[in-house]
Amino acid sequence: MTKKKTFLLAVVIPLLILLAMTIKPQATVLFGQEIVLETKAYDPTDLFRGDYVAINFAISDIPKSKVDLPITKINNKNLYVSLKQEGKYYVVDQVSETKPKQGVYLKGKFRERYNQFNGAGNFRVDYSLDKYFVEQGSGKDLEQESFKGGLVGTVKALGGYGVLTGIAPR
Amino acid sequence: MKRQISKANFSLVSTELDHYASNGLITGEQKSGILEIYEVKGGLNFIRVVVTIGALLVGLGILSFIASNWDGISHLVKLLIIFGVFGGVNLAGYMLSENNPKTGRSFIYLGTLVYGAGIFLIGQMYNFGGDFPTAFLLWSLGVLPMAFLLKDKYLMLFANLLFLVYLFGSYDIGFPYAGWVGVPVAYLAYNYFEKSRLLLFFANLTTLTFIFEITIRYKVEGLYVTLLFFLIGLVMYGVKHKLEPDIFRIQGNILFGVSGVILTMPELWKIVVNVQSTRLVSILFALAFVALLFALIRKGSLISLIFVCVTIFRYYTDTFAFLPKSLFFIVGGLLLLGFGYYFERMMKSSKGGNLRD
Repeated sequence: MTKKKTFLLAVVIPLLILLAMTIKPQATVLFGQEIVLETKAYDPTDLFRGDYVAINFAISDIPKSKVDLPITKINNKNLYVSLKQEGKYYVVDQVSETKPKQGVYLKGKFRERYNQFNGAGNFRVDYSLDKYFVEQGSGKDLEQESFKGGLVGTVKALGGYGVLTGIAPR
Repeated sequence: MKRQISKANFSLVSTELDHYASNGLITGEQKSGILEIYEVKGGLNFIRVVVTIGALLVGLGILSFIASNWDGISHLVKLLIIFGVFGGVNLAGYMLSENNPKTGRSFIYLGTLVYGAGIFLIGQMYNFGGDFPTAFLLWSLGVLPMAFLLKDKYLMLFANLLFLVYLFGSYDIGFPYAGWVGVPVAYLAYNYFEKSRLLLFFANLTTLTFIFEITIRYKVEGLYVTLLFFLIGLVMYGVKHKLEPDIFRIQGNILFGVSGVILTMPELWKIVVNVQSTRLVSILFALAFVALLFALIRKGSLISLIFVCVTIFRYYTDTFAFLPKSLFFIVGGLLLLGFGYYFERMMKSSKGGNLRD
């Protein structure tokens, strides 16, 4: 390989990595099913990606009664959460180990969380949908809206992978 | 080929030779003859420093611009700009490499920062959740090809640092599987980049971080983790080998020093002894640890001296029960003074008063 070609290769590899990063989320935005979820939010900052609104979806807290799997198969595991529409919003329907054959579902990492008041506790599920990036300084308005009465988030879901596409006042 | 030494060493040699020449030990001719065999090693080059800092500033500016998430340009246009700038600076770097190699190289450096900005832009575009340690893994991965192609140890160092950020960022999120590949690559790079000591230092650091992540993954108790690192530190310090012993000694010394100080905390020991005896065990450990440090100070380890001070300070801030503390410190200090005096006398008598100072 000539010097020119190897140099070109060293330049193209990072570009390919960048392009590859966009494939899954872009496909989800284009072809995924849109779902609307209830949420609360506040407004911190990330050093490299800037201001964002931290989001806490209602579907991230799943009561233990909804999951009928042994605890060893839940904690710190990635499971599929099927969603069903109730009124305007989507809520948790059931949890499964394998990919559901139909319907809308998201993949998330489960963590056990004890409730010190009644001992029942629930599961905290991380769908990696906890940040919505906004222009610097504009996150405070959304935070205010959240205090007033909650926000709704729009998520595109495809094959268990979700991309947060927007948030708005209820 | 001339012998390469640093600028400071060269000036030491030259002043000493001046001294010999003025004392008549050697002639002026001999002096210049000796100086002829040396060559000052290329240290920091002013132009290189200026252009590199220039590239760094522009790069940080671009990273900051992306983080501002300015609404004036859409995400897609920003991504196209990133691609354009990345291609542009690399092309410029390539074209300049013939006639202005230093400026050319700084354009390549700028390219790696622009690439990083691209990663965070994509994270922003699709609202990736979580702490995004993968960003630093991908950043590191994208810097590697250029680092190896140009055999640029500073680019390699940058890739290694990014990889370390990835390893640290994965703490508590998930196991950084890329470590199984990253650690060998770091040593491969050391071998490939003319055995740069800098790279070996960071390769060792990467390995230690990865070992730490493994202990987290398997939920090893804090005591065992610290003991493990204490032992690794001792091995790195003590085992004799040919591969850059200085680097291993310094890293080992710092490692067992830090983990030794941590092991003086009584709370750690409660998993092996009952709660009442944790204090006793930790103090016994502290005494053995300080004895070891003293033995090493005798062998000339200055870093051990620092850790003796840290250990003393750690006990000084430990409790507000001033009276027992005062007793302990005065007795301890008097014991040390006494030992020192005893050893000084003993050495004097055995060497027949040879020690003048």
